[in-house]
Amino acid sequence: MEKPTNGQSTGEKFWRSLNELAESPEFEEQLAREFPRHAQPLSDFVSRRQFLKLMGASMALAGLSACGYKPQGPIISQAKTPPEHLPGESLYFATALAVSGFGMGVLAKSYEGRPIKLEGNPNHPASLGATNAITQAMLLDLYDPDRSQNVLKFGRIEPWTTFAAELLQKIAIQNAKQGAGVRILTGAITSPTLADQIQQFLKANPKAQWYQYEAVSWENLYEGTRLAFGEWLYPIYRLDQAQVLVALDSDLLYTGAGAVRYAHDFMQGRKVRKEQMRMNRLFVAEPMFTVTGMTADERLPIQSSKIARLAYEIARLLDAPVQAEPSGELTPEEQKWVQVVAGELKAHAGESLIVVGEAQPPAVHAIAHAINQVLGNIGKTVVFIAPPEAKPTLHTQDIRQLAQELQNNAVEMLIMLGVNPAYDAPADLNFTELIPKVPFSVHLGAYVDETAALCVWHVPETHPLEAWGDVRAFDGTVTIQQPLIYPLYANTRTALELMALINGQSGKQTYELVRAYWQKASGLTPAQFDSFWRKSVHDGVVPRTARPVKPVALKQSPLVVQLPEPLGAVQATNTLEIRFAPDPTIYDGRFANNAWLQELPKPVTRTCWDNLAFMSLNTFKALGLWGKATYAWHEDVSFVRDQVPLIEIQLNGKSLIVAAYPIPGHVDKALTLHLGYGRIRAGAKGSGAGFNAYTLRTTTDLWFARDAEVIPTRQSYAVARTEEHHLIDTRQKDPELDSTAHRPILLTGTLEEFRQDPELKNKSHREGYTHELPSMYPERHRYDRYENPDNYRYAWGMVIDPTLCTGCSACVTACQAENNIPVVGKEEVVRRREMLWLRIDRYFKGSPENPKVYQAPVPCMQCENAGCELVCPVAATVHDHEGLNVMVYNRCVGTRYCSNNCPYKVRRFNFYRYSYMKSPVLHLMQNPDVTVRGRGVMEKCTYCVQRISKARITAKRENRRIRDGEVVPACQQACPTGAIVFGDLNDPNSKVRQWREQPHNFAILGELNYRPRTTYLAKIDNPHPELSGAEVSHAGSH
Amino acid sequence: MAPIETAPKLYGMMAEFETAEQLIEAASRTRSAGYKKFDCYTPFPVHGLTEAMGVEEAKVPWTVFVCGLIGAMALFGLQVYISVIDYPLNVGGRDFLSWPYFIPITFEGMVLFAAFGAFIGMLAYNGLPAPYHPVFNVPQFARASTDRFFLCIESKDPNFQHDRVYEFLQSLNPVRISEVEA
Amino acid sequence: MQEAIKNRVQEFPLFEGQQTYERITDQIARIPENPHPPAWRVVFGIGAVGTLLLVTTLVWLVAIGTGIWGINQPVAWGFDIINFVWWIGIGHAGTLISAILLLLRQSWRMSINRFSEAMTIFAVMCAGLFPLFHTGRPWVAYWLFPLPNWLAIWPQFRSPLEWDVFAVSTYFTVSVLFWYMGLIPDLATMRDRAKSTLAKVVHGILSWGWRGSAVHWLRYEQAYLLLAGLSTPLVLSVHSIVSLDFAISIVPGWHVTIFPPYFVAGAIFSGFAMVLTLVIPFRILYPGLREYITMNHIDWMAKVMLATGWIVFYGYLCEMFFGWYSANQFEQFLVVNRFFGPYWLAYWALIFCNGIVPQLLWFPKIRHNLLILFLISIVVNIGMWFERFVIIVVSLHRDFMSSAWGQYAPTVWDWRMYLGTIGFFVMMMFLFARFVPMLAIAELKDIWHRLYYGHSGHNGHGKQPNPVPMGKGGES
Repeated sequence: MEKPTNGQSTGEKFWRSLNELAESPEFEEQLAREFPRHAQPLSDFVSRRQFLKLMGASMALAGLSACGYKPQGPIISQAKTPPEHLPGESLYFATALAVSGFGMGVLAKSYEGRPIKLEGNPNHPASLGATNAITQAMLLDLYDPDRSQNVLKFGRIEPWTTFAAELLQKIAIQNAKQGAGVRILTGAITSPTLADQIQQFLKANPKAQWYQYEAVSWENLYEGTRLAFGEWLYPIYRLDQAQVLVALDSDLLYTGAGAVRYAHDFMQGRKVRKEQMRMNRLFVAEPMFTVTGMTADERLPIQSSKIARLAYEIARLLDAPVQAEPSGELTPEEQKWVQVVAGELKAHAGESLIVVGEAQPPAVHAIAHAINQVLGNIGKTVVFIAPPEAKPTLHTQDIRQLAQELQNNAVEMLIMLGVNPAYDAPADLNFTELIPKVPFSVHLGAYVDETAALCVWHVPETHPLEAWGDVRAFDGTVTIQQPLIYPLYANTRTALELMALINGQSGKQTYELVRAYWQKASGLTPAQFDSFWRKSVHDGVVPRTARPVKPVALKQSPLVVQLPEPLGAVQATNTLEIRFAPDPTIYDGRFANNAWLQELPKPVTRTCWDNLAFMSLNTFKALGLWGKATYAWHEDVSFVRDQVPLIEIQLNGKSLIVAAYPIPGHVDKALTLHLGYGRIRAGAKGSGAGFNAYTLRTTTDLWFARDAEVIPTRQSYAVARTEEHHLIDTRQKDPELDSTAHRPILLTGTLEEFRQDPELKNKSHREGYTHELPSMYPERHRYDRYENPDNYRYAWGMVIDPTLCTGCSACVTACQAENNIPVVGKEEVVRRREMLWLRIDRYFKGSPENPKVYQAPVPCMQCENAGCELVCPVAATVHDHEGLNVMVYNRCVGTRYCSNNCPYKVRRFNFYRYSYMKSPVLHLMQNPDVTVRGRGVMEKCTYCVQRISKARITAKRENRRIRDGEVVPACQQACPTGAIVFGDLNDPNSKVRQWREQPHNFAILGELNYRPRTTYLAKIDNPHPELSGAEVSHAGSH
Repeated sequence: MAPIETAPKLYGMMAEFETAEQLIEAASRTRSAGYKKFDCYTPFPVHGLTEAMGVEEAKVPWTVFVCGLIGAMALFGLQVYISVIDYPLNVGGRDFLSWPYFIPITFEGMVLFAAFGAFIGMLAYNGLPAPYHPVFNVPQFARASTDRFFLCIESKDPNFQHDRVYEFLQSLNPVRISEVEA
Repeated sequence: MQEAIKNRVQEFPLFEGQQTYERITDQIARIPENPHPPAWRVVFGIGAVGTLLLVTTLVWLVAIGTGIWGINQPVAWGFDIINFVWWIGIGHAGTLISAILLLLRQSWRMSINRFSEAMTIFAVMCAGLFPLFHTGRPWVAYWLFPLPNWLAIWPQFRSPLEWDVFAVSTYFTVSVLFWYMGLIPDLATMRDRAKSTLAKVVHGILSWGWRGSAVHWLRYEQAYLLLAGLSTPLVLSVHSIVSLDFAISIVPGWHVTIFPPYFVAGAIFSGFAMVLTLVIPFRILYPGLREYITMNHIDWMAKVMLATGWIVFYGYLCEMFFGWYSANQFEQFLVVNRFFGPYWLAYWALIFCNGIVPQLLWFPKIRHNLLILFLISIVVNIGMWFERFVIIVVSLHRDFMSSAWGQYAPTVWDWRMYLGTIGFFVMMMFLFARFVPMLAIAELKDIWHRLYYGHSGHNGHGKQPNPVPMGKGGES
């Protein structure tokens, strides 16, 4: 079944069947009779046989409408198979997954009732059909064997009923005193239905309190708007409108609720083609490289604490109405940067934008608003809406207050819904001591985590793919979440159910709750509502729920703000400024047990399974760590060993031992720590990985702090990374000695160079690709020899545009999910045996202090003259007639010669039986269209050949050629910026052919004459002539 | 006058010598005396002996040559059959009949077959293995593989007459003469 | 020419002490016949332990996977292929001595050829283990042979690994034939000397009833010479093909045209080193051998080492030159990476062991000092091992895409397997010494007869007045 992108077809069928069932209540008890055991808890080590029986049951229950789960609502049985069900065919259902309250719309692929892949929902404003790595990986959370499965009291298993009874009894007591002793702690809640339930409770118990806490909070945005406009507002950026984007300590293209959308919009201005020779320009000032920073045309490494000063300076140059007491000084380089930025902003007034990161104090946000105001950007490149949350709040303030009340024993009943304060609350609040003080504490969570261990009761949480719900996107748009599978573990509950229970609606199913709320909220007649509901659920968005744009105006002019004192100039070498940031993959720690995200190389550092104390090379040297940790015969090609030194960081009385790691482009005299690691009760995979940065994080120094004292230790620590570190072209050096940037790998150029010479002919390694190289044999396999109408062959090919690639790595995880790629674990990654088929190369160029970054996803190139095939003694890898370099897994004997002879090193070998999964539950997740590779077998990217075959079958059935864009590999599908295009090179009108015919199209290592089918467009950037633009020339020249 | 040992049924009459040179001498004289069916036995290849006996042959070299030819053709043929006829595959864009790639194995096949030709040919033409042979009935013959040299005129020889042969052998002044029992 | 040979061997005798046909036979043949020195049991025991180590390692390897080794991406070949090339190289000296020296009429080969052929066979056994077990799925390694099957799935004959399969198996077969053919007459000798019936029967069967007929000798020599003629190009082809395992690919440091000759020279180099490593202790263990493996033999072997050592060193220089002259930055970087990269120690160890140490062999004093010679031969063996390490690991760990660079470190299992094969090799060599005449008796008698018999001189007994007709067989 096709995804319901245009037609209603799926939806209607889907709904027809659901309605049939809704009208057949007798099915319920028939069901109960049929599957008496379906409600038993399913433990990880349950026997495979029994397991499959159960799964059989639950799959049947889940059926196609996949809204199974006995107390949850209608079920279809396979006994009356709905018309749209074809065995072996997958169906797609629109739903949404939320991270810290904000929804990302997805189309979940359901195979025989099992969700096996999540793809972006084109209708959803936060997705536009793409996703990010985290969303891709949330599928694994559903099947995680470490998920909590039982209701626990003090760690002992109790039946749900016991809990419910005790809870209701306690609630009754509390109701008597208007809930004075009740405190509810949740993450940020945007779900209207859940919020409504909570509000109902609060209405009934006016003395009760509802707190929200997010460790990675955006509260500064709200305070910023309050300073500037007098109310809490949420900014929506219109990056496709911006010619100049200035990001101050902000990673808006990667982190945050709107990141996927923002990356997409921003890249609309960077599609450089021969017919469109213009692009926008991105300025970034930040302490450490972020994804946004790697994309920047002009980047300024600067300590977070100096950003305020920087922003104020820009405001001053643009005479924005800001009044403040600047303190601290900018260096000449910073001055220069500021002048250029100010000039650019002015020059593009109304189509420029300055953005400040969540970590910056409200004053800096206010300054930015003032600047945007004076430039007339507000309303054009940025608009403001009311906060999407149901009850916007300041998280730090909430958690501090709760801590206060806990301290005073004012709390008799603490209900925590999907939060883990024992781990991620600021260290100075000592939540680990406070929680046990509560006589009746309930924790609802997917894992028995640090908090659950301290609570009286723990209730396992249902995965969003298992139950009904609703959630708002960053712009307020609501998605009705629909389940795709019967809950794997019968005792799990959603927050909604728990609140319903507390509110005395215990019998209600989430389906009824959500539907009832929207019935009320929509205020439609049942008949109207029915079609409204159908459409909303089918499309994955509820119409007209996006928050309206609010007109804003500075509440006073000039705006008087209190600039924070800059911490910048720290003298002693071993006292550094410390900056906390959410981890690029496991975020604030909630995904610590997600093996896909753990093994995904972090976009900037290419490390995985760890967080490290990142610092500049100079700082690293100044601390005397360089010699120990690195091997160098030459400044350019020194690299960091696998063993890096451990350092002890001391910050206001607290101390943390952490491994230090040098990263180019980091500002000196500062270090960056990622949150989310060092967990003790995350699960088998997450526990014990990395170092817990929260132990240093306090309410006063939530994001950055000065005077972190660093004491090197004697021990060292093994880091897992997929790229050797620090191979830098410092260009004063002899090219022959140089390692990276002089290599003809990526063709790069500036917009200026591209304008003058679209083919970038002056770049040395163009030769390889443009010249015809001699060959002994007739080259019958080149795609352009295929064009022969009577015997038409597809010639599959791919073109990747590194200019559009932010390095967000969504494609990598998508590939992993689609192709059943196993996770190998830290030890194996340390030994460089990661299995990811698709890697993202990251090259630095320029000075280690502030290098340029060039990135490109590198899949198998599907070479036409493939060396891997030539050296395989058993013909396990050969070419098919459509030009695919196919890998015959069950023919492979594992000599590994193909990998040696692959200049791109994109082949992966099963040194052990990586694909073996102890927990049968994980088998459910596997894509049945892709072979699971055994031990001793080579594997690699196949251009998602299974998707090609599927399209071919469809096309044959309809007696036509495969249409352009009909085959979308997982990587292309996930890419937010559309940097990857796949298709038939023989079709002159195909998008891939058009890209390939661009003048700046090139093949990596083309001079080897392997004739890769995957080619690239030159990486074009747009440096400012007065800054790096003056000196930056191209990587890949020598 | 060397002693003589008589045997009931004769395979031939054998003279024993101490040095290869005496044997060569004896062999050429035996030949000029017109005897056809006689053979010499030495502990190591004595050069000039076969010339003295008038034996000329090159069966082994020809066998080796033919086997080598067959081996080369067989393996080249195998590769062509497999890669071009039976199951042609597009391997790295190479031509199906990319013959230069087939040379090494062709060569190895030639060597392998030729080597077996040499070994088996040698044994076959020599009629080996021969678990029994009359000459072993002569006790002294044990030294044929150590340090003694023998010449045996066989009774099959048309001119074989017991006494005549005995006198003739006497004239070669061997260490010993013995009748070889069949 | 024969006169020249005669004069030369007068001043460099191939034999020591008074020799007769009988003495030659007896000195050599009685070694397997008599009980063995206790030292034999000790060394054999050590070899047996090593073999056990090998077996256990292989079991674990097949059970768990090649992951127990240090190999990874990008260094997908490590000790496995290093040791394969190392062993096969050692093997080549045997064939070279027995075949090429025979064709070159080097009379002195006679006293070491059987010995070195045995070495060849056992070395090739060790070598063969590695390509077989380095595969991810050894239990389907038979797919490398063109076995007819109803799926019509065949090997891929363009792959050098496929060439290896044929080259190595052919090489092993031919070496065994060659060795066994040389043994037949000596087994006959053993048969005739045997006291016990069992020994008689066994040797009788193994010697195919050889009776030393002149006509048989004629065909025997023809076949033997032809085998030698076949083995010579074979041994060259085998190591050329092994070198093509690398040269066919495009990896910088592998894609080198000089590899075939350079590998062959390296093979001879290491092979002679190994022969010396074995001969010197055997001479001590079996003093009887000293009469036939004289200081002259050792001296000549040392000289061959010196010569081949220079060829190998020339190969190293060529690689540097190619790197520079290629004007290809990948090649250029490779050279620099060898000099100063993370594995610089291996490279300089190789230069020291193969380039510098062998220069000591210029001095006759050192060539005649068995201890130093023994040590040098060990050093050369180590050096040749490092050569393969440098070629394989250093080239692979940093090739084209610097984003895919990596490091390689062997694990304990790599070492276990390597030491295991060495143990197996030692064990087989000592079994060989126990049961088979270590020197080619018939050939020695032949050479002694041709060169000394009937000549005045300290080591012939001149009872025969008229001169020997020399070397007709020689020219045949």
